[in-house]
Amino acid sequence: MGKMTPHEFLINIVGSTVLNIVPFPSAPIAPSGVLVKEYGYEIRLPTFGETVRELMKNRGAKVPDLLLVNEAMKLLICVECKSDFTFKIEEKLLKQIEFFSSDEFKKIWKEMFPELDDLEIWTVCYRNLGKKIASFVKQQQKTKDLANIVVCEIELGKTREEAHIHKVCGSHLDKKLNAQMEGEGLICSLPRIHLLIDPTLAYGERVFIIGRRILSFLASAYLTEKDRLITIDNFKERYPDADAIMTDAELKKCLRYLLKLVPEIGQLNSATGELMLAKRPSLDKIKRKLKKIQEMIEEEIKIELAKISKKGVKLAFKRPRPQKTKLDKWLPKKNRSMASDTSSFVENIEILKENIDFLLYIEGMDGTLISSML
Amino acid sequence: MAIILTSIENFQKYTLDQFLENATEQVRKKKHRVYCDILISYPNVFDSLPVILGYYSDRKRSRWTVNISQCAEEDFYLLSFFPKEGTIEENPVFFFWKILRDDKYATILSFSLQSSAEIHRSLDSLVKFAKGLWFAWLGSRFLETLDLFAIRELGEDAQVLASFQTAIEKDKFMPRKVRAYPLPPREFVPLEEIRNWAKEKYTKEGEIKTFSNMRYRVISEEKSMYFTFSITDRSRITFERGDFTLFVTLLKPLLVETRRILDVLRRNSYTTTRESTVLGKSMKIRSFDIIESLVFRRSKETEKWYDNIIKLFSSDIREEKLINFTLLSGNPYFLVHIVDVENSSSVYLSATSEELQIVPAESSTKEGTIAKIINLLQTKVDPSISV
Repeated sequence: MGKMTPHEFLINIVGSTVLNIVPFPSAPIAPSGVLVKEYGYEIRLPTFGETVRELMKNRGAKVPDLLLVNEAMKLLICVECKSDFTFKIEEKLLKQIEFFSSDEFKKIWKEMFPELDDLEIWTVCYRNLGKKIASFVKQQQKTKDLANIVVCEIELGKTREEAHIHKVCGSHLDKKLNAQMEGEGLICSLPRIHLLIDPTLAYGERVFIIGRRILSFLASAYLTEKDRLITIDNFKERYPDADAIMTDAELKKCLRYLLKLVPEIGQLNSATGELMLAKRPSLDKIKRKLKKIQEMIEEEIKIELAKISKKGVKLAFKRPRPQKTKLDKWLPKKNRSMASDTSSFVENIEILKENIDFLLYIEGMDGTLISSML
Repeated sequence: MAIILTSIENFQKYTLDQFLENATEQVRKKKHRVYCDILISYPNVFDSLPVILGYYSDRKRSRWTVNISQCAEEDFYLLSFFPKEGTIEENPVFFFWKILRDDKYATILSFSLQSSAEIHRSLDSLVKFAKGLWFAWLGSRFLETLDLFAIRELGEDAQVLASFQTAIEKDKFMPRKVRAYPLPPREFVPLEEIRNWAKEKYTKEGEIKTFSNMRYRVISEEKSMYFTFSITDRSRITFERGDFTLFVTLLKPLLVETRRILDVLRRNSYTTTRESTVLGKSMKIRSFDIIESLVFRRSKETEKWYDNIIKLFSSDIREEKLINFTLLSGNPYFLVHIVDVENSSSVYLSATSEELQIVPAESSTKEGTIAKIINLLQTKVDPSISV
């Protein structure tokens, strides 16, 4: 943990194409923000409230990985990044694009951006996945009424100092961009900044990123009482990207977890989410514990949290959920085509294995089911 | 010291001109030195200075009780350090502060006629304690090119000779101050010779020389100027010989340069927030408008650029109070989140084999954080890196 996940890396690469990073006038210009500078696309970080999230959840969707806006073209872009493409992810992607193409979502984005007219979906993936995703999308487009979808691949340059974005299928509504993508594609710099915008990030990852950021409020120099008090609003003011993927309640939860794992940081008022930094924090201890979090996997963090929790640890077993995926429907067909596509068969077996085992739930603090083990 | 103490009662009646007159006399007749430091503060921090001084004085560890009072003219203050009982300090220490304010910074020209040791103990201790008050950063490159700066201000006939007292040498473990005597000690030579010597050291031996303190002799017959003084890379001036009143006129372009450097060091990230209503609930939509960065390209002479950057920032730099979190590390691409726990601010530093970028990790990055990083890069990666 700690280093960017492949999915987060993808989102941050796309993010870097729409960040207007401006060097000092005398400095050489780096190839960043190609989409904002050349084509007028800008990043938007909306704070989707509980109602919208609930609606998305009911539809099996989640907030888009990135939202871009091109005001001149009156275009809204929903970006979905895929670092992998298993059956589960296929299913998720389908639900995402169905939801983004729906009238319900149109009502939402029209309220958010009344000045915009059209919506386009970009599915961005690593190079080896482009064709697979493109054929899946094309197949869906035959039977469903979906929004305009463009599938793009990202490939790191030979020197790995820049990324190349190529279009695999679809046409951009923006003709200038489409012409560029039909040709040589886009060249963009690798992320120069780590945006906390990946909505799929696990809690452990979020806790670590927030922990790092909280560290920047600490100072070895004199801090007044006022300086030591960090409110949710202070935090979001300083780190506006955190607002996009986390509601206040989720941010509070992350802070609560962080303070449980690294109590040296200070004291948290869990009702208000206000954090009072320790007067003389032991930076060594804090760093050591953050580093420990960085090295942990998600499950280890959850177990650690459960251990620390005053409520004690309860272990509960739960029967496996009935299969509601399309595996039942797909498996026989896939089995029949085993000879032509053995890799898909191996994937199917893996997923079957996952669903056969028992689930072990460790019920921890807040009554949440915090760990599942197959 | 007795001379200074007898005039304390009159200090609060002082104007800047009176102080300069007195200082010039002390230098000329009594061979005293005048110490002049350029301090920077945020306007709101400067306004709350009496409160901060109160906290500082109340601290058990503090050896002084400090207070600030206005002198006879606006923006001219007397800062007094009175020793607490039972401490090793014997004498009160006084500083005269001339304040120049704009909407972003309060620049403090701090003058004192007392001993170097007393000044360093008292003022350094306060600056270390107060968040948002710091010695302006000039950097080694400025010290090495002061002749170009002086010629621009004084005319072509100005001569700038220099002799270095201490230098920071790149060491296996950490930079350390050493006395460097490639030239006979304290002998003045044209500054260009020192530049050439440092360049030669780097190109031939790969050894990086950065200077933390340089002693100068500036001669301008046209302007009837003859000064001897030294400056540190943190804009601390010790004036030794010459007309101090005349020297102060030279401080104006120095302040302009300091202000320019501050603008480069202060990196901001500008966002806008728009309110909207969705399904009857209000929501915020944020967007990043501009993120200001600093970009440096590898100079031709620099070897192991990328490796040295990785080596420098892959682990914490304790002596600089920098905590580093490597986010991505490949070949050749490196991204690190650097948290400066001294100044409460953080940046992202990314590097490739040819280029390096420093981008704020939050809405606004403190000047001291970037100054520290540039100093480190100058000392350990590429001496041509400067602002």
